[in-house]
Amino acid sequence: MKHLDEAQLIDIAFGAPPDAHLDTCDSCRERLATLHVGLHAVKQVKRDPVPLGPPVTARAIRMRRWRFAGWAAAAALVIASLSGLQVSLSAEGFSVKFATWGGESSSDEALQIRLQETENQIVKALELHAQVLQMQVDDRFNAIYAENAQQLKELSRQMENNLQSVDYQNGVMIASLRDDMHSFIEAERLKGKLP
Amino acid sequence: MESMADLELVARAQRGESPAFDALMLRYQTRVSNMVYRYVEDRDVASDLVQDIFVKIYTHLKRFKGESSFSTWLFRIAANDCIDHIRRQKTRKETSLELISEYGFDPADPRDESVDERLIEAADHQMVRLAIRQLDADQKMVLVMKVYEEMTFEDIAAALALPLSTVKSRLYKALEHVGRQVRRRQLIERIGT
Ligand SMILES: [Zn+2]
Repeated sequence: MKHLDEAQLIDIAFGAPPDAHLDTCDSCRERLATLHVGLHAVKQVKRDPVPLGPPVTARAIRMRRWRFAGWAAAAALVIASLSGLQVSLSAEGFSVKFATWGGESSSDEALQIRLQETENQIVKALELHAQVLQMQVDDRFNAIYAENAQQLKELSRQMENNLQSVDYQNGVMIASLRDDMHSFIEAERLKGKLP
Repeated sequence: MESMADLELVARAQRGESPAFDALMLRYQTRVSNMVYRYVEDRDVASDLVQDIFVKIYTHLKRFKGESSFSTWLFRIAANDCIDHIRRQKTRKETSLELISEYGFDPADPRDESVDERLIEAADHQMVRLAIRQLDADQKMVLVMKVYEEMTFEDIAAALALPLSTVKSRLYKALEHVGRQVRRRQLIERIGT
């Protein structure tokens, strides 16, 4: 006796006329019964449709992609300018100090002032970048999600996280820059170039 | 625009006509959203996935050459994304852990002999949902497409790029698994009373 295969039983479970084989085969009847039980149970737990969100439009998708591209670009800008700052600092700040410290004598106090000035400049630059970043984000924010409070909330959470991470990176960068400068000063002092 | 056939709208959207793309999305947004939600069973995850799916459709629309219907192509992208997601996010172990936290025990642990008893205490629906969650990603997709989204076997086969017999076989295994779990529980309840 050839039993019904899985596809045949599924067809019957979904409304195809029952095969005569079922009249004579307990095993296949049992398998079909299990399918019916499974199907009934699965239908029982069907979830209600999700409430429909705002219509998906080509414009929204373009904006969404742009938002992510914008974010990546803004983040890259901050990181690059941080590195850039560091580079330009070593080109201007450090190298100037090299020249100053290598050649002319300079008092420790003057160096400390210089150090403080440099640090203030870094902080100012970072604040400026953060402001630019914030402005860019705000623009996208208003443009894209003005009409959707839920997405607005989500976006603002993401934005906060991103800004926090940039803040953290800035802090690390400043701390390490400071350490570098202090060790440099210490090294120069040991070499006797500084008082 | 509303009465236009899918392929006509696709052709226009491929030429860069945004309203045509919008009309297409309007036509499928509900179905795709519901399918994704019923598959992943989490609104937030579903919402993210649906957005990704539509971005993908927008990005890849130019590559659609009309070898299948647009809806087949769209549901293929949606199904693949969903299945990928489940495979990435929910390894067996994670699912098991999740269930342990939900039920207070691991229903998949054969060493735990009191599992059946405690399953009886759980709500019927939860038990069925649990059985559905235990299905593998492919079986579950066929189940959702057929039982919840009421797609034809032919459409499912086309969307998943599978032979009809494979689709039916997967559905068989899915329903058999759920059916067995339910019957097992009914049996335990009968013995218990
Ligand atoms: Zn038989």
